[in-house]
Amino acid sequence: MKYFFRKIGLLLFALFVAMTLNFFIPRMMPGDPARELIDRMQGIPPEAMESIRIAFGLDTKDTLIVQYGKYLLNVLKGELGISLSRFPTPVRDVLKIAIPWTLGLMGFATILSFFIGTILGIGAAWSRNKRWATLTVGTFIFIRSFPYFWLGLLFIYFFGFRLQVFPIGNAYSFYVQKGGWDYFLSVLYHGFLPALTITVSSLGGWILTMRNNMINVLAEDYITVALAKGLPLRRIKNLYAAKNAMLPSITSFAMSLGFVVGGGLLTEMVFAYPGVGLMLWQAVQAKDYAMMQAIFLFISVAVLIANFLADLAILLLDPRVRDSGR
Amino acid sequence: MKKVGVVVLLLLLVLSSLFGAEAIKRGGMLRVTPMKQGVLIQNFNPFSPNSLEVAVGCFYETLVFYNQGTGKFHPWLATAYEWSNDLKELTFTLRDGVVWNDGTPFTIQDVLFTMELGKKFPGLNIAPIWKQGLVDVVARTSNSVTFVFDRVNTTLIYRVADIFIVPRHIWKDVEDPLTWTGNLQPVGTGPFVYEAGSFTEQSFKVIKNPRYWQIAPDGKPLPYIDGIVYISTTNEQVGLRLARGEYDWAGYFVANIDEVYVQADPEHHKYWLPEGNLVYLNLNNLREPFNNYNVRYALNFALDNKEITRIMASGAVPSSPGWVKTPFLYLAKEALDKAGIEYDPDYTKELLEKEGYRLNAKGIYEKAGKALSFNLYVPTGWTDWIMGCEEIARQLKEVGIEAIVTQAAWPSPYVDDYLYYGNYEMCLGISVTGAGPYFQLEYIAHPRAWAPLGERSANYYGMRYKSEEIGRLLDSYTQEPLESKRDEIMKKALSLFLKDSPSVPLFFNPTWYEYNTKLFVGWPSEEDPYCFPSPNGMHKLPLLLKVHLR
Repeated sequence: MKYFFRKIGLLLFALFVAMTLNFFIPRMMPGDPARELIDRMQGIPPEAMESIRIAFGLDTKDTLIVQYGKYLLNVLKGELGISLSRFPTPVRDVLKIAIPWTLGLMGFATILSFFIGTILGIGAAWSRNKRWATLTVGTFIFIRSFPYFWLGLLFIYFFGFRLQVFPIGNAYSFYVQKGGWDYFLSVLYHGFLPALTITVSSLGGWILTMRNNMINVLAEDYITVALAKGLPLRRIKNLYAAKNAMLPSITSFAMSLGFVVGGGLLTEMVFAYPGVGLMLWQAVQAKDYAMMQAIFLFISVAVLIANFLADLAILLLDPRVRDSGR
Repeated sequence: MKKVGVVVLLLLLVLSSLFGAEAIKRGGMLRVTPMKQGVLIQNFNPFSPNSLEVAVGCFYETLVFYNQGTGKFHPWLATAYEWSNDLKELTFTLRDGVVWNDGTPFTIQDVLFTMELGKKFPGLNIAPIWKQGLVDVVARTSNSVTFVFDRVNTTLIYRVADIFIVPRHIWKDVEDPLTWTGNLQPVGTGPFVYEAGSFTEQSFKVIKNPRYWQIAPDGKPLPYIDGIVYISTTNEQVGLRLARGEYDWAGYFVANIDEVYVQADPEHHKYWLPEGNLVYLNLNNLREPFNNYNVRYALNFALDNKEITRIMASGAVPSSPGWVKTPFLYLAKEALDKAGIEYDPDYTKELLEKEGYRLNAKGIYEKAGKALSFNLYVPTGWTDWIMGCEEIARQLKEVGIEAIVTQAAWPSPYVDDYLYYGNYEMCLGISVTGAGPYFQLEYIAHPRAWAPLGERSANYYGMRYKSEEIGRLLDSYTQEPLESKRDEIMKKALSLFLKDSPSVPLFFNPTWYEYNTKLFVGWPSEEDPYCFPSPNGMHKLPLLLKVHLR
């Protein structure tokens, strides 16, 4: 129980630190949002500058500390402010549109990649002297070293542009009505290339972690004992070795689920996928503080919570942690 | 008798089918990229700085339309406008028979109401005119509206051309017109209406307004097209999607446009890059050696703008020595003919030597121990400009001037320190071309925009040059309602400006405009520049009212 409360205390403290950093860091960036906007609109007369400042509420006279206090209160109330680049739409409404796309695409791809990677990793460690194992591990490690977006560009170029078998952007076709079977198929069709990009390029990491853990566990004495006892190999592989070797993988899986909320920034950019990553990129370009803060806050909260849940999962799965925590 | 009737009928049929073949074909949905990238938010409020550009022009219209492609005013919701004798009143006669797309007639009440909004809410984009001398807007007759000013400034007609009229019967109940996004089905006078329910985060549709007041030669209302599908994209993607033929009209930067876009279908994939803001070699007129007219003048012959833009490969359009955009070059023609400036680096050298400069050991001109060697500032990370500067430096080197290309962050210190306070010798400057040469000159040559070194100037478009005489001419320009007389004034002002040779114009930033002639024709082009093909404001209207199916 002490372990549990300590973790909760840590979580709350980390949340506070994240919120504070989140407020101050964007304000340290150079530049003036109103000016940025004016530079983007060609030929706007300087007289209009004042109107724009008033419109965006940039004429605030509060000191930084007062602004900070207001910010903390608002966040607790769930008010994330008004998006500057999409003024006067509240940040909350904009995020509401983007989050499902990101969760769908990134969540699905991450889970898929974790499962495939882990299974391949188990196999690769078990038959580590076979040629196929070395080849699989090698190939995916090689692919993993490509940046996501580069692989995405490659896919777009070949499948979308040369062969024209897949669309090169957006989340679904404009010619289908939202809802219904056609829409669902269209979403799958449009999501295929980005999901493939993420899955293929992150597979290597899962394979490698799982394989290395598994090899370590296979060297343990109890495995030798199990082998000597003549237990079925399958049972040793799955229940004795894999189950224990998976613990570190689960922690990093939980962490990566937290990062899913942030979206694959580059993947979404490359595929013009209307998710949080694309949103973040546009917010940074437009110096949209409110939007950036909300997204960063979202990411930090999600990562912290995922971390917390991972700790809990380990507590359940690993008797060593459970016993020492008592 | 019966036979004759049949023959006449047949003849009529044949004639009408002949006529029909020549008539412009109607129908088709135009596929266009909205300027907003990625996730779209439904905002059709013409007063919101972040509204979708479809709101202005397609839904809401102005009293008069200023065509930047031709530099001419056109009556729009008003059939005419007239200045009073003392030039303090501007009266618009409203067009008869215009209706809002919900069927309500458009009246003077709507105009009065819209102007009143600007007075009440200083955050609206129509508010600034109330600070420029507008004191009242009244209706003296049942179909005219009069703007009353407390001072004479005939250039305010350009401001009126930016005011989008909204319907009183819808907007009178709106609490804060600036933040209102509730007009999900906008009621406007424009040629298009929003197709209900078509909005998603990445696309939406507008369809033609059957009540539109502009009638085509075939007797039916414009436009010829059935509507527009706006499909969002991103900078990263737009090139490939254009190449795949997914858009009929786009307004995005595309790198290597000839290879990526045109080559995919040379017959139909076209582009035209009209001139935007002017970028010039900013020579600080208050610092040595550019406080010397002869040195500035000599530099006019040193640079090959075509070569500079070719190296940049970013679509920038080389500028003539005339400073103004092509539609206004006629105003500068006389002065240009007199000046006779053309690329001639040897002449630069000759002029510099006449001025007492001698080449030093490093091949740089020098006078009284001072070499012509300066930092040439360029904003950090603006890659095309940086490439341009490298080429400028190379060309200057050939005439014995050393320009050291130095990057500085935009906007600070580039704008906030260098441009505003005059802390530079040489940098790239921007001349906002605005609605015409008047605004361009007012920002950079009028004494009221000027400040001595170390003091903040009124804007950052100038080179610390001022001319009392140009200032007087510009002031008299604002007192003159007649276009022909204004042109005369502008010719004088431009010739004075060019004679003083305050800096060297380089290139215009391009306005991106890609179009596809596979399905639709009637596009403005370099050969037929009937309008400025920008998706913003009212600029797009002539295009949308003219394009039609092949």
